[in-house]
Amino acid sequence: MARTLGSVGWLARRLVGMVLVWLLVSILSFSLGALAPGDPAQVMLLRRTGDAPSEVEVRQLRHELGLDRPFATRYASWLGAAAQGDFGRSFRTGQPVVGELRSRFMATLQLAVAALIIGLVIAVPLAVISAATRDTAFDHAARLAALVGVSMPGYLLGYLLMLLFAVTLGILPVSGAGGVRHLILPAFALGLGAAASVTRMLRANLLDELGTDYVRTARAKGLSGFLALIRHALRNALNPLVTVSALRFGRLLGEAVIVETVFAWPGIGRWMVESIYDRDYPAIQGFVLYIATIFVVVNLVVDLWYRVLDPRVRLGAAASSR
Amino acid sequence: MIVAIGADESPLALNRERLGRYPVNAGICEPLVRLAADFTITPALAVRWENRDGGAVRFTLRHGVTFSDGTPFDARAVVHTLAQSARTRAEYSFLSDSSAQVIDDSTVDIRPERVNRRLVEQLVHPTYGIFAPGSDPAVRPLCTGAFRLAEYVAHDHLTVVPNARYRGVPAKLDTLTFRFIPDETTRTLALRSGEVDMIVDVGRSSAAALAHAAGMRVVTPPPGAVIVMYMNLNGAGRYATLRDATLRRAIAMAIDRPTLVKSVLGGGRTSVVATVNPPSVLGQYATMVHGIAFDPDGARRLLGGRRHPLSLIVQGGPIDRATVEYVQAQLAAVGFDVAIDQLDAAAFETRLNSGAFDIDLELPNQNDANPAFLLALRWYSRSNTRSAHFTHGSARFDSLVEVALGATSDDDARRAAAEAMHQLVDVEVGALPLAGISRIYAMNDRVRGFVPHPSRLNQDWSATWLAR
Repeated sequence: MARTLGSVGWLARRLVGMVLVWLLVSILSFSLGALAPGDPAQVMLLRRTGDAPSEVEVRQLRHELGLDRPFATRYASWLGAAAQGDFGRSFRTGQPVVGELRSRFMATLQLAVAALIIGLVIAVPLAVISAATRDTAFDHAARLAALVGVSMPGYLLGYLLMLLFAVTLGILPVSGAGGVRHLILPAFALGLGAAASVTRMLRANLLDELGTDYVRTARAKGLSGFLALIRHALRNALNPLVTVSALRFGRLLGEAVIVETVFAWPGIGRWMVESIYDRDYPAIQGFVLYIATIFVVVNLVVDLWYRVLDPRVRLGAAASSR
Repeated sequence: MIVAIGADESPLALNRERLGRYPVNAGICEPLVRLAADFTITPALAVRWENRDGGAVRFTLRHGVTFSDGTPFDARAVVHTLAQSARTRAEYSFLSDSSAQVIDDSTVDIRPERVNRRLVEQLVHPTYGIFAPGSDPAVRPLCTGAFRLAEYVAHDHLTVVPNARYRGVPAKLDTLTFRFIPDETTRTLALRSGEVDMIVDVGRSSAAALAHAAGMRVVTPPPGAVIVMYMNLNGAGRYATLRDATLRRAIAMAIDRPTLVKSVLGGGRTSVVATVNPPSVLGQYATMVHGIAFDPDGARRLLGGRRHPLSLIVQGGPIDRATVEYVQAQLAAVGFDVAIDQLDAAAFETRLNSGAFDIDLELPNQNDANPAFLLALRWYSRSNTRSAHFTHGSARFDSLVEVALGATSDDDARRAAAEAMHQLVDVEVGALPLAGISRIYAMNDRVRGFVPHPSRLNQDWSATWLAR
């Protein structure tokens, strides 16, 4: 009973925290938009025609967009609508921001999920073999590859992949969207960096676990080194992997901005870059809140998952709530 | 054929009714008049035009023209299109939604709200491309051009196919697809992989590599734009430095423009120019503008050994960092300490419109035949743009611009514009043209018949074809 109450209290605190984070992010994003140099009306008119707009045109559009109202009034009305899921209409397109976010986010989600899968599929076996063959040539090569992968910017990796698979081998398209073939290169460009960092982290965790008493006991009872690693060390080393993967997923959404531009992938990152350049405040605020919400929710899910996976976390929380 | 372009789709997102016309002119719609490669006007849907009393222009329309769905083209389409264009933007053409009037099926009078003798030269812009009344230009523009819209997928591509009812020589391509690939390196790799047949807006280093690659060709038209250094002639406070004409002249004397063109901008069709827009816009009168010769010792003498801090603003993208740093180094050599602010479009416009700069480096494109367009927009004291408060020239310059704007013949307009430009560049040193810039195209050797137009918005694709 006490444990259940502790869990409910923990969840309630997290949900209240989520709302506070959400509010803070909304104030920050709205303030930054107001403080950033640049007038959306000016930019929109310039982009529409290619010519410098007149003062009259700019004034008129500022009024139409409500930009001539005081900051607090604008924020209050926006917040009220946002709380009901309405982020307003994009200055650039006149379309509801929620609709644009949804359509663009699916493309980014597709890319980020593919990248995460690639990252894990490469990282887990590589880390296991590397840990099992510590200080061999394979281990050194894997560590070097991971170091290169962590250090290399996604866009550079993207160009190298294009050069190899599209220009030299001619087996994959350079850019655009339109099927699984188009997804492969951007997903690898994004996922290899994730693979590298997960490999390094998992290998280090595995080596720590291999040095613990329970693994030594398992070995003393006749289990081979490889089986001890797979059956015992890996299970415990996977716990932090859940956290890292979730945080990595959030980072992938951010890194997608560059990869989407390089690969002309029609995702949320490219849309965001265009929105920032055009000072499309409703779109920027919608994006920031959307991403913040995803981060907060993913973190909550990870924490919940941790409580399921690791009884120590659950018991620790219950003990602290007493 | 697939053409990869880096065009920013924002203008289309902001104004979907210009689909296929701006910022990508896919040859779907034709204006009344067309811009030739030498920046003169040639007939398109209008066969002739004449100035009428009260500032009106009478256009006689071409007979026997139909839209791509078979509907006949007539004067009502012109009135409909211009009324719609006026609702979107009329600040510089002075058109209102009642400016165009049907005289008969093949005759239209256009009378701007204010006398605008440069109207015909402005109507070459593709945004004045005529579409059929009743059609929705934002979804399916029905026009009379060599191509018709087949498909537009936002953020990905725009495809056109030949218009079987086109009045002229049919387009030679089966399909023409413009793919939006914003990153220049990706565009180059797409060309090398064979994914696209042509790329537009190639960077200078990529162009040099592609020119030597097997099966590739690099093509450039004559300059269609000029890198111009705008000076803050009327700034206040810390931005009042260049009110002093002596300092402006010293700046102009400090920059070795031939070396800039040859060593930094890579030569080719890039050229040293003395005019603020492509010299061919002024025709034979371009030679009236001389430019100020490179004379660093003279510049130092003018400065008298004193050093002056200057603020230079530039937008990231159109002008590369090497050019900006070259300018900075040249000015430093004579006594100007230049702080560079490379800004995005929004921040740049804010600085420009608040006069918070000494020097503004820009690359304006010439997309119509009006020789006084840029002069009237940026340096004319009665311009309705905010930045002209800071860059406008003298009363003498204003009067010359007014002569150019009011000239009834193209020749008179060119001569007056050249005189105004001479006043601006040589006498007042309110602007310093650095180099004439050409758009660079690269293509595989299957692309034939492509003739690049100096104006980026007036490219004709109908004669281009793809060898099997």
